[in-house]
Amino acid sequence: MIKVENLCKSLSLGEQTLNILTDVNLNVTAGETLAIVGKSGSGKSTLLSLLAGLDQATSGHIYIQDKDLSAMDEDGRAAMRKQHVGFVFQNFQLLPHLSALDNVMLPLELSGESQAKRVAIDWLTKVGLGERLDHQPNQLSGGEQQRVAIARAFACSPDILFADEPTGNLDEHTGEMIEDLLFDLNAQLNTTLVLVTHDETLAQRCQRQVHLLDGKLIEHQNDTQSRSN
Amino acid sequence: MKQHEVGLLAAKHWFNDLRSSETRLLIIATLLAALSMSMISSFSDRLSRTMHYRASELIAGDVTLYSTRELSSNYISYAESLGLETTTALGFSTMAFANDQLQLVRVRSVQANYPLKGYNQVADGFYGDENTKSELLAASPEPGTVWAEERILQKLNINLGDTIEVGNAVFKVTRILQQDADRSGSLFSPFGRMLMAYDDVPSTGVVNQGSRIFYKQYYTGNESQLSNFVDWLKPQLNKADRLAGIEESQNNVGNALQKAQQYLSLASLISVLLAAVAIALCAKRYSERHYNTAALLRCLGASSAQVRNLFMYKLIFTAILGAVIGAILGFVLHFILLQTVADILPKDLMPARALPVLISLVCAALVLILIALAPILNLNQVSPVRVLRRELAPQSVKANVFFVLAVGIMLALAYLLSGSIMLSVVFVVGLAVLLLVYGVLSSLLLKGLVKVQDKLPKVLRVGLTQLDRHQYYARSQVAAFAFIFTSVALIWLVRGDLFDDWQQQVPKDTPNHFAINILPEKKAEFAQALQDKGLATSDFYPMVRGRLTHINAVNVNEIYPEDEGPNALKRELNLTWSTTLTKDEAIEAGDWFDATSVSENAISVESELARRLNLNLGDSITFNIAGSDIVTKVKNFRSVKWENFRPNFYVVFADGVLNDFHHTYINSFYLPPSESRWLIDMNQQFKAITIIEIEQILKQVREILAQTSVAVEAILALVLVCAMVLMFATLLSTLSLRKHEAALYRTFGASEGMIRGRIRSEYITLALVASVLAIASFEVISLALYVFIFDVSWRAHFSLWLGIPALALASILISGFWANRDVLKASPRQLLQDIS
Ligand SMILES: Nc1ncnc2c1ncn2[C@@H]1O[C@H](COP(=O)(O)OP(=O)(O)O)[C@@H](O)[C@H]1O
Ligand SMILES: [Mg+2]
Repeated sequence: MIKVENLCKSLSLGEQTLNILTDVNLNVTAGETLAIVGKSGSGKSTLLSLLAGLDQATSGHIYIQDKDLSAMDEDGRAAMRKQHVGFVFQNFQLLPHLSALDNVMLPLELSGESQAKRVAIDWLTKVGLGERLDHQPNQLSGGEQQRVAIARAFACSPDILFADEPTGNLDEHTGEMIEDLLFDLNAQLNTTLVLVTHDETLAQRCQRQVHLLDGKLIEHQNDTQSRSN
Repeated sequence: MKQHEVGLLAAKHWFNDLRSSETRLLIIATLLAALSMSMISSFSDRLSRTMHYRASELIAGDVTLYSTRELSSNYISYAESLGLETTTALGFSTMAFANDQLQLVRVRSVQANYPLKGYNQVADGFYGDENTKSELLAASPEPGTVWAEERILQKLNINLGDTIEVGNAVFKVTRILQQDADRSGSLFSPFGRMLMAYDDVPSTGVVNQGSRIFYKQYYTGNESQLSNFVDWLKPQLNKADRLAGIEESQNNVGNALQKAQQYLSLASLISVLLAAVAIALCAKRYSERHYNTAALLRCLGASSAQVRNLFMYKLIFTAILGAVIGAILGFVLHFILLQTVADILPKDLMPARALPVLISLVCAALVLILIALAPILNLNQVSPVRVLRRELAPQSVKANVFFVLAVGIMLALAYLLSGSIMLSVVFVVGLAVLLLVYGVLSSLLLKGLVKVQDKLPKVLRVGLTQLDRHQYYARSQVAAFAFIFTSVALIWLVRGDLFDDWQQQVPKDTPNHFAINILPEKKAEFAQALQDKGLATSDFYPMVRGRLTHINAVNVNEIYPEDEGPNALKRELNLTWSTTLTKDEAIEAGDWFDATSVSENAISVESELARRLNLNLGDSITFNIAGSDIVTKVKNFRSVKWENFRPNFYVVFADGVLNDFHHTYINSFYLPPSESRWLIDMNQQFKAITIIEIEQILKQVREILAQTSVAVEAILALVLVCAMVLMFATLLSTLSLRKHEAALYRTFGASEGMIRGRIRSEYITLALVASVLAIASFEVISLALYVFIFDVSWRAHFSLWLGIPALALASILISGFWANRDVLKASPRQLLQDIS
């Protein structure tokens, strides 16, 4: 599903060059759930943005379903995201003046879905917000906003879901409920999940964990239950 | 996703955006621009069409051709073939006879369709009599009858309905002529005017007797017909012919109206500019607030073209909503404006047209779109990574192209509103440059102040620190505020000067009668008669007629061959002498007469004439007076207020130079209309003296000035509203920044009072810095305006040096605290929530 070869990302800040990622290699198979773990500032979000084609690598290749992202232009990558990718963010990223329903409808409308409204209502009902369709983000709690975001992410039935610290802005209890929801839906739809977090317990819920340290990826062959499931 | 789906999506999002303050302000600013344009252009479109019509009334046609030679009837037939309406008149001076008395009269004989435009003002009795009714007639005398000015009847001692002999023919006087539709004849002619039917002229037999005759043709039609005709006619004219259109019919009313129109267009232009700057600020903020939206859309797979189109649609919806509401409101308001001044407006106002409203609508929409385009296009440059990393701002789109476009559309607008290319260029380019200069100057000023801040009072120190921290915002705020106060001050100032100018033109006791041809030996007797009646009179000015023949011993015909010189050289001038200046005169160069002046034949020349003749102080000028030459020396140049309805002279001699030449006196006085019967006695008692009544003209001038004053006040109010909107736009543009800061301060434990204090310091500093800029630029602009456009002399306006800072402090503090009321009241938690 995702294949990463010799990926490097560096930024030039004036005179200096900042190497954020050096020689990252990674393989994610279809249906797999993967956690990328690392300290704050270790480059997790950077890696995620490269995998999702939001940003361009300095060198190396990323293949999504055998298509080379680095060979595409911005609009090509956008088309790829529209077709294959869903997102859940730490700070929810809902549009402030739109209702929950309109927020969920947005990606459906962008991909030309004729049944956008029906699909969006279905998904909001699935995440338990069937009664809150017309509420705006500022009328919803953090947990509820993240539910809307999850409904939005799954509404397009993506092949891959990227999640960047999805519980980072939530209290522990709400965070767990969101985790449950995320993994439940993921299991139901058999979506490939790439999750970025600094939270080890959350990472443990994934089948596989990789660690980012000084811009390098270290694969953990996990001794726990996960792989065999 | 198809194009129309993008449109629908945009519509949905835009509808939701209507809740946000940026979108609302954008709409309000566009609305105001459209409203201002629509109201003023509808109003002045009707007014100027009416005035244009009125002005053509003053010369009884759209175009007139006057000549001392007989005019070809080909002109008439060609004009008519083009579809113009024409009429012909013949003028001559002759003796009228009645009651055994003779009186010289000026006759204008006119065809039945005279006047083509305007009216003859006639009365059915003597002026001031209780039962006298005057009316406006678009008609001319029947054959066999004449309409004569009152003074003719008074001199001949006859009544309305009596007969009068002109040459071999006898006419019945059926009406008293108060004003001829064609006002082009000299007001100060000593002889009364008479209207007669064109076909009656041969029966009088006087035209063959070699009396001076003039020929005149009048034409009306639409603009293209007229210009075709004028183009055809011009090459065929010779020196004896004088072609006049309404543009040339300059008089004091025309001047005042022209200034008022310029003022109106200037003011509405400024209100549009204020709105445009508000748009620019709102658009920038709008764009910044939507970086996230754009990034999210990209992240969800929208192409950059789709993002661009989505925001373009939203912009167009905003433009349409604001412009349509504004244009319609402006149109409605123009009716209200007209309604409030209905009493003093002409009754036969031209009907309203849709054109100015449509143009305003399109222009306002274009102003918004062109100004907001650059920041909006920035949005599709937003990197999708921004969803993960908030601080990433897009690189700015090169705004130069749009800036040029915006300046272009403003130019077109300015031209539309003012009709003057000169005014448009000066204003738009001037103000565009001004805004840039403000940007530069404000940052220099702030930097300079920061350097010396140790020496400043605490309020300013705190304020400066605050401003220094957000240099970009500080600069644009100072620039915007300076612009607001400069505009308001300018509009205020020009309005005041216009009013003063008008008030001085026709004060209450303005003389409504002139007496001319007063012989020296009758002067004392006449003065006594006026005094016995208890009338306030002006001085008696001596008057000698003479022709200017040489400048520095060179014949003026050599200096100005081909009849090109100023009019003053073509006819005899009225010369006078005096020992003092009147209150409306001022020395522009040189010195007033002194003891030696008589011996060197010193004269004082009106400064405008001096400029046209290229005169220098000390030049010698030769006059031919009654056959003898007198060489004079230019002692000074003198400004004259021509519109003051008092006798004015191009050339004044030192007292003692001219006294031995034949001279008469002129004077003016105010006679209440109810007393006008007394004039009949005066006319009988002083047969040689001519008394001219100008009450009608004064009344007309007063009415027009009053109506223009109201229009001027209305537009001032509009400018103030636009200034307020810009002020809020400016304040709102920093609101989120301020919330952020306030939240931080509050979490660190700052009290509400402390935050209030900081905001106050910042606003006081802003107000003072902006005032300094505003005063400087205001003085520079007013200088340029006065010298190049309004042609008035300039001096510094010290009262505004205090007024502007006072206004700035009051308005910025009040509206600032109002805009910030949420920031002050809210808890830190609320504030932090609002920001994210
Ligand atoms: N556009 C950028 N400009 C400057 N520094 C950046 C930029 N993007 C990433 N970095 C730096 O790269 C490092 C990795 O950032 P990030 O991927 O956000 O880490 P994480 O998500 O693991 O906390 C950080 O030190 C960050 O400061
Ligand atoms: Mg991160």
